[in-house]
Amino acid sequence: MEDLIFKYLMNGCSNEEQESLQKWIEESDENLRLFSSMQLLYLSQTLPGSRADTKEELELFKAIREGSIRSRERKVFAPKYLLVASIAILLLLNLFINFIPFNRHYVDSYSAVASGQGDSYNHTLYTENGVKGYIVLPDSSKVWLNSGSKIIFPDKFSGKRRVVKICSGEFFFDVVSKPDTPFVVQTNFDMRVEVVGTAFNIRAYSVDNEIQTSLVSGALTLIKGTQIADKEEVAHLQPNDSYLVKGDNSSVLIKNSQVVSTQTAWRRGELIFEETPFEKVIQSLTRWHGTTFYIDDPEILNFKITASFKSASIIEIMEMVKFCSPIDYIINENSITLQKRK
Amino acid sequence: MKLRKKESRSNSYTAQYVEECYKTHLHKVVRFAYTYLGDANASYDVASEVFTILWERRDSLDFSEDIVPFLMTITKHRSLNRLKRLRVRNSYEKGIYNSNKAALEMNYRSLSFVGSMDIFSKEVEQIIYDSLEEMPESVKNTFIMSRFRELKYHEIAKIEGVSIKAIEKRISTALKILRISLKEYLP
Repeated sequence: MEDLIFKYLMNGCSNEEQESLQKWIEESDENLRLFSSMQLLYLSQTLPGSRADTKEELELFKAIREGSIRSRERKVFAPKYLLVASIAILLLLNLFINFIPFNRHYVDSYSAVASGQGDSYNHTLYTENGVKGYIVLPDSSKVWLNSGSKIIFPDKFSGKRRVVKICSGEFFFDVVSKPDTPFVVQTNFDMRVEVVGTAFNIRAYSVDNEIQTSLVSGALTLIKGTQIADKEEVAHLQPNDSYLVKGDNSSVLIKNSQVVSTQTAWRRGELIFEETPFEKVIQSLTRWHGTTFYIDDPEILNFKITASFKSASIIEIMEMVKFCSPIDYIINENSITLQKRK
Repeated sequence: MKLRKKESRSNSYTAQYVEECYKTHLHKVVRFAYTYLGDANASYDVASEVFTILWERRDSLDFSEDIVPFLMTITKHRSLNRLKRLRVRNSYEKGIYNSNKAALEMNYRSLSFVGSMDIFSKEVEQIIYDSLEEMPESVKNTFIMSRFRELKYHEIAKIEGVSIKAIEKRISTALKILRISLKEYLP
């Protein structure tokens, strides 16, 4: 029977021979095993090593590429809406949960300061990574603190100015209008902001080495130096202006309401990335969620991400990142390891 | 929600890998499918399915690894699917495929019986080299001409100055030896 198997494999055999071979195979699993082994073995030893590079074969490959690109686009279409819908539901839930910690995590550590302002106390409010804060100042002005931010303010404003000091971080101020007592924000970048009554955002993380001030309403003056004596005005902002000063002292005035909206998105619980290098994305996520990131391949830092999230959990965000970039992630308690997908 | 896919720089390399893989292995995939399907058109259809899958999964594949067993696994599943459909059709369209019915049954059963595709892996090469030493000289030479120089039996017969039947006999002997040394890789 083995001879018949070889005959079938090498040359093929007549219908009658095939039928008797078939019957023999169906007699026992041992017969089937022998036939199956010999067929696979013969195949493996006669695989052609020739290359496929005729015109027709290259055309077929082109068709495969294009065909699969088309089917891939179709496939992505449906889940995208599913994804949006499911995230929207999660976000609504998140919104409620996210707002509770505002007060609960509000850490108010008092530090007595002997200053020229008599026996007033300075309060320091800071937010850890992953936590946001909100405070009403003695003059009823409101301040929202993004994660990893620190502000120092007195328990009562006295004198001709209302002065607060920010150390590092991102803040949104909604300042009560008092025309005869300007509101002054001293920053950690040798610069101060003077306003009368406005709403504005300052992003001044020390690690970013840049300070960006965005005006939502009212008027705002940027002044070099933090002392009252310093009077060199850097810029006057109109509503929807954004002013960015980089570490090398280069500066740019951006007149674009979209930028202001993006800058203040954090207060609405939104995280927005626009062509943002992954290095910055990681910084944002570290602050936003208090997550530590480990990176397998430095090339990851060069990828750019464009996406926006609203009160999304870190897992939702990482799933989206995975979806729109060649980056994969492993979550381990409060740290995330990033890998380039193979 | 805004979303835009950023093409990474590595993608163009991956595309090249897939194309190279296609050029190197298309004929192997077609041969595999043809062995079980016995139909050239269907074999090319299966091959294009296989390389479509390869193309779509290109980002998650490790091209430094032995890709042939992976390709053959997909080819096996795709071929089996076709054989299953043909069997069903055969059962109610009596007579049409009668001439191939026995072959179809045999090939279907044979391929269903196959498990791992490691027989197509590179590590098998070494075992084959070692097994050559167990073969009689004439068998060994004939097998090498067939396996590595890919000569046809009639070409080998001409070189060796023997009949095609004799060459077939030698190949059978070589395969019997290999079946023992490769038994772990076979069903």
